[in-house]
Amino acid sequence: MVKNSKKILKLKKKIREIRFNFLKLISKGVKYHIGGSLSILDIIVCLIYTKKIDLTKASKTRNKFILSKGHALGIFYTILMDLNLLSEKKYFSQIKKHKFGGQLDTYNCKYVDWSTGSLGHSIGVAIGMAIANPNKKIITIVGDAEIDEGSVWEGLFFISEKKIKNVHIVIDRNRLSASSFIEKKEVLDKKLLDQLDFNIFRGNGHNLNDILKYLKIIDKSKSSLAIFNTIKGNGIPEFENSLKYSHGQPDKKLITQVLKNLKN
Amino acid sequence: MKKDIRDIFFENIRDQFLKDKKMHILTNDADVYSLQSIKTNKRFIDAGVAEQNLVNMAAGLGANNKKTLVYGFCTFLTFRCYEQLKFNIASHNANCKIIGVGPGFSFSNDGPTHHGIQDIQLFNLIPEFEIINISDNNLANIVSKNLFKIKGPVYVRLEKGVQNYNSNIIYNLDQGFQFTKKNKTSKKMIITSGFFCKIANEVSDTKRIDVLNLFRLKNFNHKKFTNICSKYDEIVIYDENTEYGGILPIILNIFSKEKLKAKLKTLCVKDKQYFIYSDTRQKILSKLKIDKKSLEKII
Repeated sequence: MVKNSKKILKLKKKIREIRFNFLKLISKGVKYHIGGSLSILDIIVCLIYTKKIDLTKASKTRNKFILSKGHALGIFYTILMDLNLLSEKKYFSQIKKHKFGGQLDTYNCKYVDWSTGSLGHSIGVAIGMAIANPNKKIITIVGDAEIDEGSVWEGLFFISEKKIKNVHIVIDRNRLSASSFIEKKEVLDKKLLDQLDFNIFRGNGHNLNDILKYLKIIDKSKSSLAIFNTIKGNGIPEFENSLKYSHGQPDKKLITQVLKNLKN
Repeated sequence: MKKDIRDIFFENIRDQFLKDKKMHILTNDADVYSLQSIKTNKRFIDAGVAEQNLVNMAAGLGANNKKTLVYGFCTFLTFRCYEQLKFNIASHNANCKIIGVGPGFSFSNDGPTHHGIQDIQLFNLIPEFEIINISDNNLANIVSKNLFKIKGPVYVRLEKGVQNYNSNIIYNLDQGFQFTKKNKTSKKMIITSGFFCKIANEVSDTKRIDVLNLFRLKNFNHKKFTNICSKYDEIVIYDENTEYGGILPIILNIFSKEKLKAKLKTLCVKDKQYFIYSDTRQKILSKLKIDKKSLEKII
């Protein structure tokens, strides 16, 4: 228990640092979708800093990660910089050379396991990766609006029916799509997913105990599906549950104030 | 009109929607400012990011004598639901208008998933679809007011931002093209479409070259178009789409059929998916060497 509390304190500190550094990039004029990035921040930090996805290892030897909601890439780059896998100089030079932008791709960053940008593709790709790498876990983070895509369901049914054992899907249930609030989502709310042959987990995506519990489920030899309740723009009151900052950029004054508040 | 081109287009559509109870508007979670006031109307359907279902619903409505207008990102309303468009919309000749926003490199920072540089040809391959590529505010106003006068399925590409040029042009929808720059003695002409018409106009001001804006890409007046082309010694085809994905194959087909003899030059995007990103469209055009400077060079 003591060990776990220490771990949680460490992760909390890391989350605060990554949030700050991510927002610093925004303050320097880089454009990212703030809302959907901050909603998955806690989950992605836990995945990477507990080494469930160990980016320090060569891609061939580690578990794979697909950020299906690719517009949340700013957090991923911030983590790469924090891990000293990418220097700030190189990051800005890649932007200048038009190699880094609003989506992740495998051509311009070797730590990216799959290019994303179109929604609903990652589960099928993860199945292929899982079949090709039976001893590795394939982890993907999917947005809750994204599950409207039919290809998501084709992938889920396939995993369940064919007993694919190593695909782990995290649904970021932040209740906000690009254009509207999606409070009601019957496939999640009415537990329809419980009929499928997955380890199903429901939790709070900003509660590290819940996230760590789920990471233990990933270790099991069965595919899993986690529905994490999250808040778009989590941690910054000005951005929380805001349609405007789902993908809009704050002005200089606001982002400066936000950073100042975080520092204090 | 210093309005965003999307507001001009969709305000006209909204006015028609409120008057015409047969009309339904559908989207895949795309946000349009001018339509916010009708989002709670029963005839407005946001299907979420589920394009195949979205287009099939439009077909079902069309089969029951409804008019449908479907809008969303041009890349996702084409590649994502292509068979549904071909079979359920086109082969049943549904009165469905597909509005693709974000053509070309207008969403420059979002990579190849959002770069609309092949969608024209996808619709060109479906016989029943008409294609209209809107370049400016003036044309957006005319097309949106007359869209449902065109029978059957139509694909419209809609720019973003204030495209406040060509305001003096009297567009003729049936003809499908219009000179936006014409000099009395010029024997050189640029044929272009969409956003690139703006750049071609600017180049014309310094190079004294004529500019023809081809905005209706299928049922335009081929005879008149051929006649015009035959009067020029040199023609530059200038397009923001790929060489196979945009207007080039359409024009080459006419040149081949009509045995036109003008010297042809082309400036369009190479046949490649570009994993490049930028905060401005201009920087992408410059990187791909299809910007104003490159056009000036080729002339």
